[in-house]
Amino acid sequence: MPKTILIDPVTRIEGHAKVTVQLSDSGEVADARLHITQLRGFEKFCENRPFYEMPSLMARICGICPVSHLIASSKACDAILGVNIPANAARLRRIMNLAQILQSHALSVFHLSSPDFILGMDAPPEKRHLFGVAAAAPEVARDGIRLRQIGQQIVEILGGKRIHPAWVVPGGVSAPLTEEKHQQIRALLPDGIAALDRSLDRFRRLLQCFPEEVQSFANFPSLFLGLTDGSGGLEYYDGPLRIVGPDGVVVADHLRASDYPSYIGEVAENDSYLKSAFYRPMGYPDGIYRVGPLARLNLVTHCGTPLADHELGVLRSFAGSPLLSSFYYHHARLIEMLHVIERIEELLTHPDILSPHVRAFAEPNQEEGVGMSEAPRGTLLHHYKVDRNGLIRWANLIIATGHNNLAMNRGIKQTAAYFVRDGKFSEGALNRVEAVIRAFDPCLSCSTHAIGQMPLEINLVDSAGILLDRRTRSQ
Amino acid sequence: MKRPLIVGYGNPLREDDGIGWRAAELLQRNLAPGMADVLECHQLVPELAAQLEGASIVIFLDAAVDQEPGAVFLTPVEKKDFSPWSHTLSAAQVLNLASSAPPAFLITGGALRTGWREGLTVSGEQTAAAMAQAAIKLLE
Repeated sequence: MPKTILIDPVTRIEGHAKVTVQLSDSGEVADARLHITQLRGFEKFCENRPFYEMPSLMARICGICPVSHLIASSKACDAILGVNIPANAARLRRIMNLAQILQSHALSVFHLSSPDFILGMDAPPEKRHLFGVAAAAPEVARDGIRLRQIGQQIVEILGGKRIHPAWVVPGGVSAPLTEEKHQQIRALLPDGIAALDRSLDRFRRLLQCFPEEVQSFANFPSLFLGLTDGSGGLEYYDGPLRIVGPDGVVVADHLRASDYPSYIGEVAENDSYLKSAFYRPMGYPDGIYRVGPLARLNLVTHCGTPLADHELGVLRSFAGSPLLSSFYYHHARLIEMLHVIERIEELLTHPDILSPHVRAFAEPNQEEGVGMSEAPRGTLLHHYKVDRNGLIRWANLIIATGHNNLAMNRGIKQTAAYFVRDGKFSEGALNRVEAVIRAFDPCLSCSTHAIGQMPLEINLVDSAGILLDRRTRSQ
Repeated sequence: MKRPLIVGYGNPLREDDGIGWRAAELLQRNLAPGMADVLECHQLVPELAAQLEGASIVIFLDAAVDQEPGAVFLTPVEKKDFSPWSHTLSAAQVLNLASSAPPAFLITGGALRTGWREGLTVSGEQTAAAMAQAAIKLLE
C-alpha cells in the first residue's frame, strides 16, 4: 500500500511563511493566523561556547541586521564582564547601529514595499519588484539604492565589511575611528539627507492613495514598547524601556532590561516556530504590543534632531498621535532614517570621537547578562547565563518579530476581513495580506527579499475546516 | 574625475568560483595607484548600481562553468534585463538599475572545478591571471 511521507516544516529555508484564514458559516473571516515554519535554534547550539564568541555567533542570525545582534549580544557580554565600556566605544557602537538601521529601513521601504506604493496594490505581481519601480519611477529606485548603500558603506568603513562585521566586541569595539574614516563617513551624509527629503515629500503625497490600507492595516489599539533616552526622546542603543497605551498614556516607564521577565512574557504557539511576546501584567493575549519604527515614534515626545522633529510634527498634524494604523510603519521608517543620519552627524562632531580608548578588558565577573537595544524592526533582547569558566549555559533571545507576532496576527485578520469578498481572495487582496505583514518588516521578510513579496501560502477554509481557496507564491 | 571600476565576484570558498575575485586582486596589486577602483564581492547586488554611475568604464570579472576551463571571453554588457529577485543580480541587471550607465564589459574565465574548498586550482590561477591581463588590455 503506498505511503506518503510528509516533511513539514521544511527546515533550513529562508523566510517561509504560511497564512491560514478561517471563515465562519456565513462566509466571513473568523480567524487568521501567520505561521512561521522555519526553525533556527541559535539559543541551543550556542550552549557550551565561550561567551566572548557570542557577538560573532549571534550576528549570523541575520544578514540584514547582524549589527543589531552584535550590539545586543555585546551588551549582554559587557554585563557578564561587569564593565562600563568607554564612552567613545558606546558612541562608535551607536554610529554602526544607526547606519544599519538606515540600510535596513531603505531595504524595507524601497526594495520591498515601494512596488506597492508606486505601482499599486493591484498591479500585476510580475511587475511588482524593484525593477518595476525603476522603470516607473527611476528617482525612487535610485534614492532607495543610494540610501541603502550609504548605510552599508558606513558599516563597512567602521567594521571592515558590510555583513557580519566583527568590530563590536565584548567591552567595546576592536579599533578606534581614524580621521580618514571619520571624513569618509561625513562625506556620505548630505546625499542621504537630500534623498530622504525627496522621499518624505513623495510619500506624504502617496499616502492619499491608500485610505483603505491606512484604515485596515493592523489598525487597532495596542500597547507600544521601546527604548527612550530617559527624557522622552528617540533612543536606539541604550536607555530605559517605556510602554505606552493606545491613548498615548505611559503605562510603564524606566524599565530596566535586566528585569524583562517581570514585564515581558513569551508563549509558543503550536502552529508556528515564532514565539509570541506579551506585556505580562495584562496577560496573554491581552498584553498585545507593537515594537519598531511606529512604536518608537508613538513612545517619544520628540526625536531629538531638527529635521526629524519637523517631520514627526507634520505626520502627527495630519495622522494624529499615537498612530494606530500599521500602514504608518513605512512613514515612521522614513522619519527614522532622517533622524539616523542627523544623529550620526551629531555623534561624529563629538570632540572625543577619535579617542583611542574604546575597549574595556576584564574576565567574567557575572554569571548572567542581559543586553537590549533597538534593531530596525524593534526592541532586541539577548540574555545569557554562563558558568564560572565563561561558557554559555543558557540563552534566550527576544527579537522584534516575536514582539510583534500577536499584532501581526491580529493585523492579518483585520486586513483579510476587510478585503476578502464572497469568500474569495482577489489578487489585490492577497497582496494586501502580504503587505500588512510587510509593514511590520518581519525578519522572515527581510531574509527572503523576493519581488517585494515573500514565499506565501494562503488557505481559506470554512468553519468545518474545508478548504475553499488556496493561493500560493513561491520564490 | 571618473575612473574605471573593476568588480570581481564569486565565491572564493568554492575553488574556481573565486576566479573573478582573484583576478580583481591581481589587478588591485598590479595597476598603478588611483588608476581604477577595484571591488571584490560574492555577488552583484542593487547597491552596486549607485557605484556604477560614477565610473568611466566598468569591467565585471566572473567565473563561468559553461565554458572550457582556462578559456577567457570578453563580452560587452548591455543595459537590459530585469529580475524579480533582487538578492543577486546579473551584470546586465545591475547596469539596468543604474540611471546613467558607463560602457561595461564582462570578462569570464572557465572554471575547472568548483568544490567546497578554498584556493583556486592551478588552471584557475592561470585563468585569473589571463583575465587580469584582458582587463588591463581593455583599460589601455
